[in-house]
Amino acid sequence: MKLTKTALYKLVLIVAVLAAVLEFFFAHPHYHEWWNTTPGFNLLFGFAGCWLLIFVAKIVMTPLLQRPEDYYDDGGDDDDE
Amino acid sequence: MTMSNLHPGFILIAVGLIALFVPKSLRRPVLAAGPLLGLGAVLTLAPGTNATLPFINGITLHYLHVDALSWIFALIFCMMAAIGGIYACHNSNRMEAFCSMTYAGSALGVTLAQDWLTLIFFSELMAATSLFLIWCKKTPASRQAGYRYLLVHMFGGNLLLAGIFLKVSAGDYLVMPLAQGPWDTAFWLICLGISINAAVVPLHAWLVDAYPEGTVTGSVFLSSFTTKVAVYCLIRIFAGTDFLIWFGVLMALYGACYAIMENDMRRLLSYHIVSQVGFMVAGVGLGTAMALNGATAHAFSHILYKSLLFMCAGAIIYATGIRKINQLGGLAKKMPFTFWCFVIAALSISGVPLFNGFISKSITISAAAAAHYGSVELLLQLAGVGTFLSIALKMIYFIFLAPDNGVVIKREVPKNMYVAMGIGATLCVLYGVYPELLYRYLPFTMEPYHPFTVDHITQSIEMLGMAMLPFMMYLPKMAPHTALSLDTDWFYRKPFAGIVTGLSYLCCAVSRALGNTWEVLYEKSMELSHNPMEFLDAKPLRNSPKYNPENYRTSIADPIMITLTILFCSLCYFMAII
Repeated sequence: MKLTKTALYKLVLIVAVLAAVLEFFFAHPHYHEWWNTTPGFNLLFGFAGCWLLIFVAKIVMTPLLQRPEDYYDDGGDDDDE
Repeated sequence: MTMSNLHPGFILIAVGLIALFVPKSLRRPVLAAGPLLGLGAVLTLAPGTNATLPFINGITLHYLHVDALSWIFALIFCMMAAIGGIYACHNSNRMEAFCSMTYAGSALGVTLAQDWLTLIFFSELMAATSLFLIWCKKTPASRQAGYRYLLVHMFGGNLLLAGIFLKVSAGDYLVMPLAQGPWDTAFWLICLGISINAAVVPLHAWLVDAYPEGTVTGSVFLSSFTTKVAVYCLIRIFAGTDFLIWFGVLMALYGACYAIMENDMRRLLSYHIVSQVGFMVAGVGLGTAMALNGATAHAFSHILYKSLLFMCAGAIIYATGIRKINQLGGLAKKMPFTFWCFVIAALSISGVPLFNGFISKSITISAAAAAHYGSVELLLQLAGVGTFLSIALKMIYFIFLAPDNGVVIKREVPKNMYVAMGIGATLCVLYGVYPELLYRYLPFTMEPYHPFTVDHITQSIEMLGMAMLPFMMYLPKMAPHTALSLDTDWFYRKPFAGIVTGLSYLCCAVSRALGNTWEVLYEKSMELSHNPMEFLDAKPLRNSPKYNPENYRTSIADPIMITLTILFCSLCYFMAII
């Protein structure tokens, strides 16, 4: 099936809103911190959390930590033995 | 369950030995069906079974001790050995067959051991067999990765051994929880030794270094045993040690972030092992019954879905020869069975309802909330989002759904690999829809846990659904690139290697300099002692053409005279004594 990008965005948003509505009416959270009881908190957490992880991994960590693939090869160690 | 004393680990080791010696035609059924005997043995073991063996110095080895905790781990290890055996039975390498079965058997040996000596014996056996399993690939990269694995595990094993020596010489022979006791040297040594095996950050680099370098069939075994046996030991020995909570959270986030950057398929999955084991370590640190049950359930589910992920990755590598994500694409049409198994495993690891990750991960997170560690709860949820991002979104899209850039299927995947993957996928779904199958065996008593409540389900759907949006928005940026991510093994690969090289150069230089000095001294003293008369008198003249050495020599009579005189005197002296 061919899902265009906009169709996928719409599907995700509909499912998310439905889940938030369900949560608002039917959920009985076990724990009572503010993040457990605010309806729709998980929507924000999922979006912001994913965004933050992408940011940290791609923008912060990649330039610091990535090197060319042969960084550890000290040359000439494919003919040992 | 009928009572029996059959140790499933010994059965698996026997299967391995048989597989080593039989001809190839028999090896297939031995590998496929042999572990089922071990599984049968576990199912007949009743909790409360104890078997001992006398040893030297009046010590007894409690090699078979079955209680609820060791039984559930023994069960999943046997299940995994069976699935792995089916996956690997097409393999013609007898060493690999032997090593993988012995590795599984020694994992069971550690699980069912009640005394320290049996534990360390089987732990070292595990390290040795897994090392050879990595070396079975026979490429230079796997040789080097295996050497580093060996060094790290020898180091960790020695720490563990030292701690155990301290314990045994103090008279504590049995494996006991140490968290409440004094945090003495033995505690820290054993903790460090087990933490290295559990891939606690920063001691985890061996895992991401070595697991991708194993064979297609070997890595499936590798990914399932060492870390989970270490988790079992942590649950048994270190339940409630609170610093483990923060290490667990660190591991969970660290693994998730590195996985987002990673390009090699199995290295990405290895970073996820670190991440998922972080959840378990955090559960061990929390120490409540719910948290320990969460760690156990998570280990159970994790073995199933992680091995399924490695099996799918292995099938892709077997079929296409490609291990990097950026060289793959469009495999959903070419390898549909692998695609659907991967999807099931990816949804399981992300904690989507109706798959086994949902029923187990959420226990640990709820335990963190129940113990009022709110930050831990939120950070573990964040790590869960990261898991969804790198496996369910990134890997599925870039390997299976992205536009095909000409990936060619070089070999047909053997049927037994598909059978094993199918079994794994079925189990993931089975436990996902009927969690009671797992919950009834959880070892610690807690209030009944109901995963399918509205708030749990909506939480999962909301969080993961919205997590798809940044991925879709930044899709071009999410494509992985061929690069090496520096990890904590940098410290012993670059500076340490530099120190070793530097020391060697220093020693060589000192040796050369000493040799040169000696040579100079020797030559000079030879010149000087050649003829003392010459030295005293002729030094200024020695290099002139008028120099005739004959002028400075005495006659031959003089040395003869001196020698005869000394001989005569000595003779007189000795005659006088006698």
